[in-house]
Amino acid sequence: MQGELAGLLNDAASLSRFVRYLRRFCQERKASHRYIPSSQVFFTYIDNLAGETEAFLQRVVDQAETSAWGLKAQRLRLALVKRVWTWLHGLIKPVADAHTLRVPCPLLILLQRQLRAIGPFSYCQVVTLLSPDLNYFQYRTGPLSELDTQLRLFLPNAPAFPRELAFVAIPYSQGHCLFTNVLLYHEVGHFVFATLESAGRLLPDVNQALASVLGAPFESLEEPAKEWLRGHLLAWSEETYCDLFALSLVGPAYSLASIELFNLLALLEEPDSLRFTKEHPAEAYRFAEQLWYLQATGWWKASGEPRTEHHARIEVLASKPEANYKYPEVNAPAPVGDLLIQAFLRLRQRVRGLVEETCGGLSSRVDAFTKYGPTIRKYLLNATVPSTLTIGGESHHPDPVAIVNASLLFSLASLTALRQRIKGYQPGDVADHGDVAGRVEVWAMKAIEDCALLNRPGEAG
Amino acid sequence: MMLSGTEARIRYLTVAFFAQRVLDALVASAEHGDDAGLKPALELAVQELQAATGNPPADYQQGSSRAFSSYEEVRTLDEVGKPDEVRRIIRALERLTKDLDAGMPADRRQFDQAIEFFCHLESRALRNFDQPTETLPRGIHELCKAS
Repeated sequence: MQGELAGLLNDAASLSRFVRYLRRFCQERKASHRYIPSSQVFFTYIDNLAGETEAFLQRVVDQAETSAWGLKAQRLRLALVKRVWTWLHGLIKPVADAHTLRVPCPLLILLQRQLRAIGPFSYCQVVTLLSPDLNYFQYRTGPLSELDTQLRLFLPNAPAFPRELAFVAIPYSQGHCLFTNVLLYHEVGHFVFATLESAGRLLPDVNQALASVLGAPFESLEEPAKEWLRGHLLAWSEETYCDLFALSLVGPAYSLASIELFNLLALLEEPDSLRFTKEHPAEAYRFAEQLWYLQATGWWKASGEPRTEHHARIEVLASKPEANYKYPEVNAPAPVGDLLIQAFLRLRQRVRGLVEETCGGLSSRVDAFTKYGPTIRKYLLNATVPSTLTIGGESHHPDPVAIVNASLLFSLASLTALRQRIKGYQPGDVADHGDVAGRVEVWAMKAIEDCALLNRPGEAG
Repeated sequence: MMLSGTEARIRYLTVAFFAQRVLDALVASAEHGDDAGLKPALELAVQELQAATGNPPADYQQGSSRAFSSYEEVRTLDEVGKPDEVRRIIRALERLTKDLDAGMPADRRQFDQAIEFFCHLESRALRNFDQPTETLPRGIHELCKAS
């Protein structure tokens, strides 16, 4: 028993050092860098949780159990609290790295404003993380906030996990960009999907789709196998939901930015574009759904002139026959992969409906884009920040979503025209082309920032 | 894109917290005679285990806050005990509840059996959190043959 007590003390001391380090790390970063308010909320949570954890660790040793089962339960409790901190460890550094000089603040403010316009999210904030991965992620913290009640059984004064925070990660190389970071809208979609318990709402449809495609064998499966099948359909539905959610808020800029990133990740060529993975539907399916949305809302027509190579790629991807979709994961034998895809395709309307329920009244304004897009392009062609436009002798501060879309389309279609106006223009100068593209992003970002000030929320455009 | 590894890992913690909650109540009663939290913990445990084995009680509400609401969570339970074993534990927990309701001293063997099971479940959840693995559940290959 003495050995067990010594082990308990060692465990507690080791965790205490770990927690103290993380607490100090956050305090130091907070003191030496500037962060958006949401990150500061997170740091405060860490600080408070660390204080409560240290008190808990001392209590564990002071009130050590004497029975074998008691000690075992106590050590497991310690191990569990340690895992919570291990998990938080993975969040802390990327949040600390994302200070205001490293993230696209105007876009984040716009995104947060749009998120807050959706009824249940009026109190929510977006926390950005800088990730070493060349991809965008959402850190799902929902389960952690659901554990609050349980965590308080050991840490009675533990602060509530800030459920209002949506944690989204940006590749560290893209922190300063505007256009690729439009993909953050999709990541916030995951937060919205989870917060609205959309998976639970989809579950009856998922079960029905599986039962109708797989028939009686589905009903006779054990629960783990059923969950495995449902998990795929829910994950694919969630991804589709997030794509349509992003389009609803930010328009075709999301699809165009997706093409940029997926192209970089080499996901757009066959057979990759036809492949489903455990987490994602095939890119061909995703772009088919996006094209449907853009056409149905009028965005496709409005944004198609001048037509870019990206438009053509989206149409090609969207036109791939569904019969060619594959789910060739090692873990999924081919017939099951095909059946899963068949079942998933039956959920298309339901997922579209869910997005409509979430942001039906908020769909990004194609009218504002039609109204301001040509003038924004004209301003950019003159190397001017398009935050105050003069149209018909009157001043207008355009809708930020129109700025994002018009600027991105300008960057894809009209950059050479701008470069031709700059002294010393060399047609094939790659570095110069890239620099000027970067400059357009800076102007667009500045315009978004200006318009946030000049347009009162709700009166944009 | 959702960070599936992180998501899966945190799901294992849901199972671990569930197991710890039941474990604490069982140990408090068995070792210290403190029954204050036993009844709700036993009811919770029976409810969650029944749902995880495909027989949710009539008033059971699905949702992400449940102990076994994803494949990872259900699989962790399955790794600790096959459905028959889980049903045996459910019976032991129901007997403990019955004894408690009747004001009778509980059978120590039932306690030990339940404590051991929840220790095992929590340890397994923590192990899966540390080293998440992907396995194909039983029945999927058979599904291929049937289809």
